[in-house]
Amino acid sequence: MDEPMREQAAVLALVRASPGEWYQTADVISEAGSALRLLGGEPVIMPAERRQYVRELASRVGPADVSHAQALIEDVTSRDVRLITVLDEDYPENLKLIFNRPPFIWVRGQLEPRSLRAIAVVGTRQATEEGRATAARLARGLARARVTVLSGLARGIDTAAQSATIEAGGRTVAVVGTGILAPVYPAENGELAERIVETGGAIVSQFWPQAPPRKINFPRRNIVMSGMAAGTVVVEAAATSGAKMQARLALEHGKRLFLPEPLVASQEWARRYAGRPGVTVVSHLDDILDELVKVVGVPRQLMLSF
Amino acid sequence: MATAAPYTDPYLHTYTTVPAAGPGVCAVCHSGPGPGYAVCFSCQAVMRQVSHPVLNVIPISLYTLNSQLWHVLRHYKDGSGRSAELLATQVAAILARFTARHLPCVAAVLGGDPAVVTSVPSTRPQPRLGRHPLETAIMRVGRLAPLYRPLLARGPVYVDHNRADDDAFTVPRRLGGERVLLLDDTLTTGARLQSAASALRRHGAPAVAAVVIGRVIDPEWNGNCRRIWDQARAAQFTFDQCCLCRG
Repeated sequence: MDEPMREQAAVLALVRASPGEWYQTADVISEAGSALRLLGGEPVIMPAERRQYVRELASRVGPADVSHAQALIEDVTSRDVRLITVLDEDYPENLKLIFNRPPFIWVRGQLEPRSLRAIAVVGTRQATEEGRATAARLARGLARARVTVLSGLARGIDTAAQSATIEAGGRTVAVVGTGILAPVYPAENGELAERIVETGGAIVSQFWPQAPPRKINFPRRNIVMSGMAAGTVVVEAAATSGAKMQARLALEHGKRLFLPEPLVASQEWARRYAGRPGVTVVSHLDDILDELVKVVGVPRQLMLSF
Repeated sequence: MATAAPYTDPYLHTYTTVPAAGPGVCAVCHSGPGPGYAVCFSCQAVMRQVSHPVLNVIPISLYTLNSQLWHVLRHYKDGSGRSAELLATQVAAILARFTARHLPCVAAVLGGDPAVVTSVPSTRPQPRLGRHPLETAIMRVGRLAPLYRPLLARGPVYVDHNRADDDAFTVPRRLGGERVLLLDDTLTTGARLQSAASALRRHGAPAVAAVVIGRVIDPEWNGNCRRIWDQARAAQFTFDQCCLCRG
């Protein structure tokens, strides 16, 4: 087994053994710069508050765990799926910006890991006709501006946004709440998933490859989707919706949040969010694109003054 | 010149208000002291290990472990890659916005404008190559760059988390009455910061004020930390006020 693959297997073994949240494991692996060194008990520079976690983590992994992980990787990657861990060159730059980034993602299709030009378009599964139309209109505009459209492959707003992106010749990435080898959820979007991959996009999953669509997966999936985007547009969502949760996550991440005018007019939660810093009420696609320029266009030599 | 606001406004949710010193708020670092104390446990512990501790530590934000600002303040130093560039810009923008409004607040506690701005050097076992990312950030701030001098170098004594020492840092020249603004990115126990401040005072600085971007706080540590954290999270962070000018 070559070195990068041994590292990947060690990452998976450490995650499998994680006593805490997976992102803490991602953090210590990234800090150490090597999962194998963590496993081997080699001295690594680690902030004081992480040393106990590292000791506990390393003590929970045996050699068999690494070979199991290796077998899993060999099996999954033989099916047109790639594994990208927090140690890999191809780990998306946007994801590196958030504190609760996943230790690994499985990818079917093509990622553009260096690009920051991605916007998540999310909303309710019980979408209205108007909501689906808004999602499609924004997605087409983003596609024409060569911005990747991220969404969750769910019914309703997600389906409208991702289908419209493809129809406009754009690129869309589905960040899913199931394992990369599990049946597509919902089943009716199996064909959409295939088209996403065929048109230069990708399906991304942060879960174990066979993971079923469990309820607790979706909030975690929303963290990754917010993380992979420069900002999130919530097209249509009630206060209890997962899309509303992604609005909160985007702000916690310091990402942009975009709320279309009709949502602000109809939802109390959206009105509360609308006046906050980093939140843009969208009446036109340019409202999103202008903010995106600020995110991706930071000049290297910049004197910050007033 | 670009202004810092567009680069930091979306991040305001990730910063947390630092309370003014007073009952239940540490007089030095603005975290939560034990009941009945004016100064918190860690400030007390490290300040008595040096001869000239700084009495004014001015955090721009509080933060907890496993939070977005915690992530930013660790990974802006990662160097290569667009994500590290964005994080480094955010750090520079925080300093720019703070100094644009609150340099007069800092001057008031120093007894005059700072003549020199400097930073705490890295104490990593293996020093990184090139300029420290915090220095780079300071040099991007119009009001700080002309005053910046790397005054401190690592001294013969190793400082650790809980161990401050007068000889942890040295100053290669005599500071002829220059007031110093000392900057650092994070404050945990204050061991490094107090060691650096003491070295500056021993080498002739008449006054030192320390500004740190983030002061870590553990809301579970004691009742004051819990109250400070809960009150801060209930309010929107703003650069309009700092912990010195807040009423």
